[in-house]
Amino acid sequence: MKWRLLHTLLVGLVLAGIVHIVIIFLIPKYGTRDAWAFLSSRTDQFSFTRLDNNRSGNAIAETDPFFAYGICRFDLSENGVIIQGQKSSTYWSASVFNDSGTVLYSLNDRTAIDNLPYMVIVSPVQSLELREIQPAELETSVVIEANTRRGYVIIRVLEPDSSYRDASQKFLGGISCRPYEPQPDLPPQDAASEADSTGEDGKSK
Amino acid sequence: MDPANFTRQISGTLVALAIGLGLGGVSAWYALQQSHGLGGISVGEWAAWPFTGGKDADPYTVAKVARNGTIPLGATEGLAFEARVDNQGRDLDLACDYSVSGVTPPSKLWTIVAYGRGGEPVTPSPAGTSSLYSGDVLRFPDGSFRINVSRRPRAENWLAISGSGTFHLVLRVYDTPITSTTGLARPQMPVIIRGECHE
Repeated sequence: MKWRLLHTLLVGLVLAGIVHIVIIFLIPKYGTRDAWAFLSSRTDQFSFTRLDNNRSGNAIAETDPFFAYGICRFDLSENGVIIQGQKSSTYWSASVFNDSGTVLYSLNDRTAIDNLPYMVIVSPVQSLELREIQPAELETSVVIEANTRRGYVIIRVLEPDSSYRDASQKFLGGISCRPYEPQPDLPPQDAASEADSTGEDGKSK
Repeated sequence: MDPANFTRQISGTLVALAIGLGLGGVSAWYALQQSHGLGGISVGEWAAWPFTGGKDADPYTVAKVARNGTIPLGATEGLAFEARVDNQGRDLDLACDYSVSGVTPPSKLWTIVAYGRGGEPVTPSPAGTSSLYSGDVLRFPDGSFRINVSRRPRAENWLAISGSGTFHLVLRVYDTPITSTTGLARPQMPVIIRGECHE
């Protein structure tokens, strides 16, 4: 009898362990409160959207009120994504997330090339392609290999008080986010004019 | 098989199932509620989860982030420290005064924000603000600071709170070397000391 009780308890404990592990692993996949669930219904893919910090109904919990945020959601199944923007006078940083909210890569104004928010995110397969084609972006941008299909980039810029608001909004407004198809490196003068035109493009958005 | 034995076996299975589901569920819930411990580092009353990114991300931290609906800071961006209790382990209460004093880990800038239970910043009492930025904080000659958390106006650095119930403080250090060299000496964090409590 005693042994039977012990046996039951032991089976129960093992089961508890399994249930515990299963719950912990399933929460990121099936949770409805996470940032992805909130963002996917409110932002478009491949378009850089500013998040209004002060508007009620901002379900992203615990955002830092001293920062302004922008987000770009992407899907790497067909194309990579290219993010380009202007310099900022205040501190900015960016993180690449997969759809379960894990940070895959992060950078800040100091670690970015020329302090510019300029990055290309590709899947491992596209990364191989990229190395074969050797496009101009490989030299000037931060190339991030993301092992995920869907994900998002969040760029935050410091806005210590409302007097910085214009500058931070201009910085976020100047960021473009587009699908990326690597093009072979062009001769120097063409490459320069290409870079110019994309810069213009980013500004007008 | 004799019927008595059969019922015993069935009831045994049910008991095992109940223990499994109950204990498993409760322990998972508890692990995510915990502000200290699992998957994080703690410094006094402050806790941080530096391993939210990349291959180091542990499943507890990932689940916690998803459950709380927050967007974590990447290692290059900074690190967020959270405090839910004072230096004696009592829950932070909006009805009480606190002094947060000391130094922060080295960083380009930091912010401290009081959040309510739902994860929204605490509504500040009139003329105050419930969040402070390192650029606006007054310091002592040695570089340390003291922040007075209170519902009533305070001299020096005032973090204005209002309402009642519990709250928590989040201190975020941006562009800090401690995230790239974890395992290094424990970061220095300010101490939270409770003052008077008002009704």
